[in-house]
Amino acid sequence: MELPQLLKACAKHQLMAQKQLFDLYARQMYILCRRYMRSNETAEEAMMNGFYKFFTSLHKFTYASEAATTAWIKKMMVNECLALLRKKEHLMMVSEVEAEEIADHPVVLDDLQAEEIYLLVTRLPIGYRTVFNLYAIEGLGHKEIATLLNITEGTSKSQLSKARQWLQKMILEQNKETHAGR
Amino acid sequence: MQEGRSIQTKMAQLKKLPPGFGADPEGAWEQLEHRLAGRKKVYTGWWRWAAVLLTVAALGAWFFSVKDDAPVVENKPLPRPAEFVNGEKALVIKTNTIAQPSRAVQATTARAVLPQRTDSMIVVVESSPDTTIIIEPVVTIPALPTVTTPKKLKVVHLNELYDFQQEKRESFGNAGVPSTALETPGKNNVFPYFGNRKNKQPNNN
Repeated sequence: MELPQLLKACAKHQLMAQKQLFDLYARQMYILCRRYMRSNETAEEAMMNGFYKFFTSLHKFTYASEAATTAWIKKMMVNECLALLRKKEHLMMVSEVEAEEIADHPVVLDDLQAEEIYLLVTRLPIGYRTVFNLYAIEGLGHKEIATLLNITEGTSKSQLSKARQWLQKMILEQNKETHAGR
Repeated sequence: MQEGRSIQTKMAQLKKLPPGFGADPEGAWEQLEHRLAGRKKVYTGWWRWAAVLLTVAALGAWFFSVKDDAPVVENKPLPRPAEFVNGEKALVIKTNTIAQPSRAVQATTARAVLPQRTDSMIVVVESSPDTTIIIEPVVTIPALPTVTTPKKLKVVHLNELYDFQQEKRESFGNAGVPSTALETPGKNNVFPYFGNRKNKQPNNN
């Protein structure tokens, strides 16, 4: 079944179609949710909530393209992750004054494989990880992040800087361990 | 943003999760299916609401008809105006119901409205002690024992009453007087028995 037909069937609450759509996106969405959440269980919970909201609000959605559909599902998943983080992890950001500006070293991450980056991102503290995910991976601007997380743009920027600094530190330590091992 | 684009591309290409990040898609789907099946959309068309209201109304009607604990009030026979005088069915008419202005009319009306009038039916006219006897010939019987105030009851056969009225009318020579005049009290009323109260004699009985 093509995606538009599948979405129509899902909008009519046909369980088979919903299962098909779930199978189509589940893996991708779980990977996304796991980047935000601390554990597999909470990631799965966020994904389920996201799919549930997606299926129940499908009548509001007008199909434009596959990319638009994927983007919409992703957006719902991200929102669910943030909601769950607020609820379970008590997501709080370090204030703008406390955070210090750190010079960017973006080149460091380019040398890493996707899996390595993923692992590093999931090891970040919740606050850094959330902003880093939203900015570097979802592609949101600081203004949007500030609105989404109810923080100032400055806090968003400083959180991102700290996340990068933390990542660089982790990569350097890994490199040292690798060289020492040789 | 070079870094961002690079990471975005890499993350989009990520198809395999690192060890320890495994998901259980089947288990997740089972839970999701349960939620979806449990909260299917309820169509709330107006006709559904109407059906619900009708059902509630029907149930309510049934409930109140079956579960009514109020004591059943039996239809007791109303105190009948009819009495039995000398073994004959009679109708008691109080003199104040045979109003002064139109006694004749009331008398005939009383005759007319008797639903089960038989030829042997008796009309009993209850009069107060100071009221003139207005219907003659009558049979006077004592007041009912249950009535504390002594009253005199005048009894007359209904058919006789009617004939009596007719007879009196003729004897008093009211021929040529419009019938409506008979029903109208006043000085033109030539029917002394049912007309002006001033012409009546005090009842010495």
